[in-house]
Amino acid sequence: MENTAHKADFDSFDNFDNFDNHPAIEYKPRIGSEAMCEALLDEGIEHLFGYPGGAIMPFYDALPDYPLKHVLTRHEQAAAHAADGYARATGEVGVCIATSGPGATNLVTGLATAMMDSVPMVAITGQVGRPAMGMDSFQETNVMGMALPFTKHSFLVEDPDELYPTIRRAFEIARSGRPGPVLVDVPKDVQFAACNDNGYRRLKEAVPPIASPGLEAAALLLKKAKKPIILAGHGVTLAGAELELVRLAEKTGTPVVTTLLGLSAISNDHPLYIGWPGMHGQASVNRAIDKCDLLFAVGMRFDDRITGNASKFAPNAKVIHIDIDPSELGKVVKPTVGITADAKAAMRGILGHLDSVEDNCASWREEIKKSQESEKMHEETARPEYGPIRIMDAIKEIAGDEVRLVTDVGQHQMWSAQFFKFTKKNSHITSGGLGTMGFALPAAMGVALAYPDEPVWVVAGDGGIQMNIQELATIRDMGLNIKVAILNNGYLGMVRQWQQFFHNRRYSSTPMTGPDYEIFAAAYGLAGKTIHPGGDIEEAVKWANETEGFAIVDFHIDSEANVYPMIPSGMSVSEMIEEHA
Amino acid sequence: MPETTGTAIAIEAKMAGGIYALNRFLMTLQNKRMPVKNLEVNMGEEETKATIRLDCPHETARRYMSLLELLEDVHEVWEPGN
Repeated sequence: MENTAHKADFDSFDNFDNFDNHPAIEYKPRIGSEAMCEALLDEGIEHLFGYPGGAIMPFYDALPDYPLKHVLTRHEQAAAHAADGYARATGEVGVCIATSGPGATNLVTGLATAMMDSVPMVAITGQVGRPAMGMDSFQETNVMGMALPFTKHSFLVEDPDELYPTIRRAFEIARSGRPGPVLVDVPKDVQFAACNDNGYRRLKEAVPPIASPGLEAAALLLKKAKKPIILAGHGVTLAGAELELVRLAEKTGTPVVTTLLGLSAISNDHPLYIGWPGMHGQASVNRAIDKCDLLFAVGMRFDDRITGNASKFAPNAKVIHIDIDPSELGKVVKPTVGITADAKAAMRGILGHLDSVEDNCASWREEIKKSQESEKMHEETARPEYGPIRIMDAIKEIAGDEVRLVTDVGQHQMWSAQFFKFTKKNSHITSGGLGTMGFALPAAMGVALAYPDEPVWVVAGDGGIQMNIQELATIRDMGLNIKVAILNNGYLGMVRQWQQFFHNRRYSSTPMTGPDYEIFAAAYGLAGKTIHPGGDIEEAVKWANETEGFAIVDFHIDSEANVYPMIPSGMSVSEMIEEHA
Repeated sequence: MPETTGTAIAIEAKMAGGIYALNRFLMTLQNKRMPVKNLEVNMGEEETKATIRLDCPHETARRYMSLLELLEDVHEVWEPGN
C-alpha cells in the first residue's frame, strides 16, 4: 500500500536518517479487509475475479489501495470459472470473490468443477456479521457448511487476528498435495475489525512419501511387459511432468494414451501417442487397453467415463497406479503396484531404475498401428466435409501452434478431444469431472488474462454458450482476446444423441433455440459472424483470428451429427457403438 | 456402495475440537459413502475423538483411513490394536 507520508520523508537524506523517529508518521491500526488484501499480495496474486455485495463491502473498500487487479464478472459462477481457467492455464492458485447468501451459492458450481478436476483455487466470501449469524438474516447462508462436499477445505474466520494466517493457509492447502478449491468465509464485522499481524504459520504438513520399493517394482513390470500402455491423466499436467512422461515412454517404447484432462500432456504429433480412450475415445485405443498386459496409469483416477464397466476394464493387465492422493489407489481399479506420489517425482524415480531396457514391444506398436489404419482412413474421408473435423482443423491451422483451446461440455467437447491436434503443453482446458456446461466462456477469460498475447479459442455448443453468455460484457470491458466457435445444432446435442440411442428418438426438451449471435455480439459492441452449412469455414476462422480482441462465429452444423464411437454408460469395450455399425 | 463383509473394522480418529471439524469429518463419511455401521463421538473444545466401525474389507477401510487422514483438521487416524 502506498503511504504518501512515508514518501515525502524520502525527499532528503537527512530526513531519511531520522526516519524511524519522525513524528509526522502516523500508524493506523490494520483492519481485517486490509489483512485479506495483504495476504493475497503476499501470495503473489495479481488477478481476482469477483462480484461485490453487502457482506463483502469492507474488502472491496480496501481493494483499490492495493495493486490487485479485480475483474468484475457479471455472475459469481463466472468468477469461479474464470479463476479456475486462470489456475489451469498458469498452474497458480486462482482467486474468486463473492458476497454472502446468493453470491456465495452462485459460486458452488465453480467450486465443484474445480474440486472434481483438482484445480487450485481460493474462494473468499463475505458473511453476515457475527451477531447476525444463525438468525436467518438477510443474505445469510451457511456457506462453510454448504461448501464442504465441494472443497478441499473450508474456513469460517471469526477472529480478525486469524484472517491473514488463514488466507495464507488456504493457498497452501489449495496448491499442496492433490490441488483443489478452498473456501474462506469472512463475516462482515471481522473485515471491519482491527487486527494484529499474527504472521503465517503452517498448521499441517502433508508430504506424501515416495515408496521406493514401489518404484522399483514398477520399473521391473515395465521392463518385462510386452504389451504395455501408459495412461496419463491431469496429474501429469498439474505436476509439470510432461517431460518425464515422454522420457518414460521413449525409454520403454510404450504407447501413450491420455484421459480427457490429460490431453496435451504429450504432443499429438509424438509417434508413441496413440489417442484417447473411454466412452467417446477411439475404438482402437479402447481395444488396445483391452488387450494390454500392463497399464501404467499416472495422475488419473479411473473415472467411469474411462473405464465403463470397471470389472471388465483392462482385463489382461497388471496395473501400476501412481497418484498423489492415496485414497485414489484401489478406489476403482485394484493396482498391482500402487504408488502415492507426485507424477513427476514418481516417474523420475522409475526412470532411475530403467538404465538398461530392451524394446519388447515393437510388435505391439505395430499391432496398434494396424488397428488404427481404418479409423484414420475414415477420418481422412470425413475431413473435407463441412463439420466438426474441418472446424477443428481450421482453428489449429489458422490460429497456430500457440493456440489454447477451452471447450465447454457436450458433443463439441468430444469432437475437440477427438480431432483437434494438441501440440502445445497444457493447451486443452475443459471441465472433465463435473462436466459443467457454461464453463468455457468464463474459463477462457482467466486463460486470456493469464496469456494476453496468445490465441485463446473457445469451442462451445449452442446450449452451454447461453449459460454464461452475460460474460460478453466482462470480455468487452477487459478487451480480452478470445475467439468463440459455436457448434450450433439447434439441440442439446449430447442429450439428444443419448435420446436417439437409448430413448427411441424421443427428443424430449432437447430442441433448443438461441439468439442470432451476430446481432447479440453487436449489442455488446463485439464482432460476430454466422456460417450456414456449406459456408466457408476457413474464411470465417481467418476472419475471427484477424479480428482484434473478441470474435464469435456461429457455425450451424448438421443437427443430428453424432459422436462416435460410444461405449454406453457402465458397459465395456465389447459393447461399443461404432459409426455405420 | 462398497462391498460389505459383515465384519466391522474399527477406526479411531483424533481431530481439532469444535463443531466445524466434526462437521467436515461427518460430511466426508457421507460424501464418500463409507459403510458406517456405528459411530461414537466425544467432542471437546480442544480435540474431538471419533470411533467408527466400517463394514467393508480391510483394504477398503485402509483407503478410507488415508482419505480421512488427509483432512486438514484431522490429527491422527489409526486402527485400535495396530
